[in-house]
Amino acid sequence: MKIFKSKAGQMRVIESILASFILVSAITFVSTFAVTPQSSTYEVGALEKLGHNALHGLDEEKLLSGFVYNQSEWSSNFTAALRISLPSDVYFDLRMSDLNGTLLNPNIPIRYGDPEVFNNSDSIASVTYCIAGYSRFDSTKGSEVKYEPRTLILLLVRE
Amino acid sequence: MLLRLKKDRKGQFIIIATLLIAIMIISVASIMYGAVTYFRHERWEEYLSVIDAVKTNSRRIVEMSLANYTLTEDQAILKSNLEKWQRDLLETYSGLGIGLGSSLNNETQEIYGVTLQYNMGLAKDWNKQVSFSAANVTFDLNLTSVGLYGYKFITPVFLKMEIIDALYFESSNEVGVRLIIQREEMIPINDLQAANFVKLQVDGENKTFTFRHYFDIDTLNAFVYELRYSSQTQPSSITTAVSAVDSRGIKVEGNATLNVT
Repeated sequence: MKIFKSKAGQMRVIESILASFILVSAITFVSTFAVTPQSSTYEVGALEKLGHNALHGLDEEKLLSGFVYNQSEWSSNFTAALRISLPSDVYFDLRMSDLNGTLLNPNIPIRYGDPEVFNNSDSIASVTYCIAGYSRFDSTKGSEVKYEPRTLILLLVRE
Repeated sequence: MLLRLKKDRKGQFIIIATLLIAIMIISVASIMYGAVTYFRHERWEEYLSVIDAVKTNSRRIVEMSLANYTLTEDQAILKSNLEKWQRDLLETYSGLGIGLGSSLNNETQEIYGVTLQYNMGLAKDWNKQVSFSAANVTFDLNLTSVGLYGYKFITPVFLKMEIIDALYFESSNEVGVRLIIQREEMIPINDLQAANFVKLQVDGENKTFTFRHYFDIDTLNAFVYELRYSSQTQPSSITTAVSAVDSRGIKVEGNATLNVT
């Protein structure tokens, strides 16, 4: 007898559950469009920033031109400097070319990480950085000034 | 009729509840939209990184040109290098609508407390007690892909050498010529080695010298380079000429007649 009398209250409960269900559905639907820090869209942007900061930091420290215009530094100090400048879970592959687009380091990889990762990852970031030339004084060679632009393309992917 | 209205009260409630839920959904959706698009606003940072790279390399071009000018006296080198750089930038950052203009200073300008006469953006005032090498370019950057027009930045490059004094050291029979070397914004240069001083001439004669550098906190309150050469007696005065090249390859030459104390 009492159960029949409370029918209206049960309806309110059902309405509340339905309302909650609609709300959760709406939030779930909208969140599929979200560009959150974890999403691949944001990841590429974050890697680009890391890559640019690494190259620009080396340039501001007056190290970059010394690495770029000295082939003996490519696989040793240049690679090491980039590994130090980037987080340990970020793999990189740096390609260097002249203004004609000729790749200058096809046989000397400036790389950290498995090359396969660059083929398989969905979130690969690419940073282009240009360096115009160099002027320096060396105690053995004296003054050297050279205008010879190089384009650096740094590919980055998270492990 | 009244009875029927009373009977349909529950249906009215459902309509009101549906409206409220719709309002809630729209509100939540608008808040979520604001949250999901928040990170998209950071995309313009990639253009800032291009601007940074252009500024850094434009400064490098000015430094290279000044270094070349102080070595070869080629007054047109800055103009020539800037023309090449402006053309090469278009190829390197194609698709961004990048355009870099420049105006070379051709006027007399007071900078860091000294008056310099620029010619095609370059100036040197050498063979004095206080000598300079300088360059000054105003750049004008356009990045049409992001609607950036007329972004101006000035790139002064500067090297100053001041011959301070000459001291006699009886204990070692040496004369020490003391110098202060500064770059733009009067920042002391403290990384020079003996090889950077390519010439020390005293009374017209080249001298071999030993090299010291230290911060003189007592009298000069500055970073000082001291070039010492042997002299069995204390001269009353000397005329000295010094040439120095900094790590960027920029050269400056100074000349002074000093009382030896």
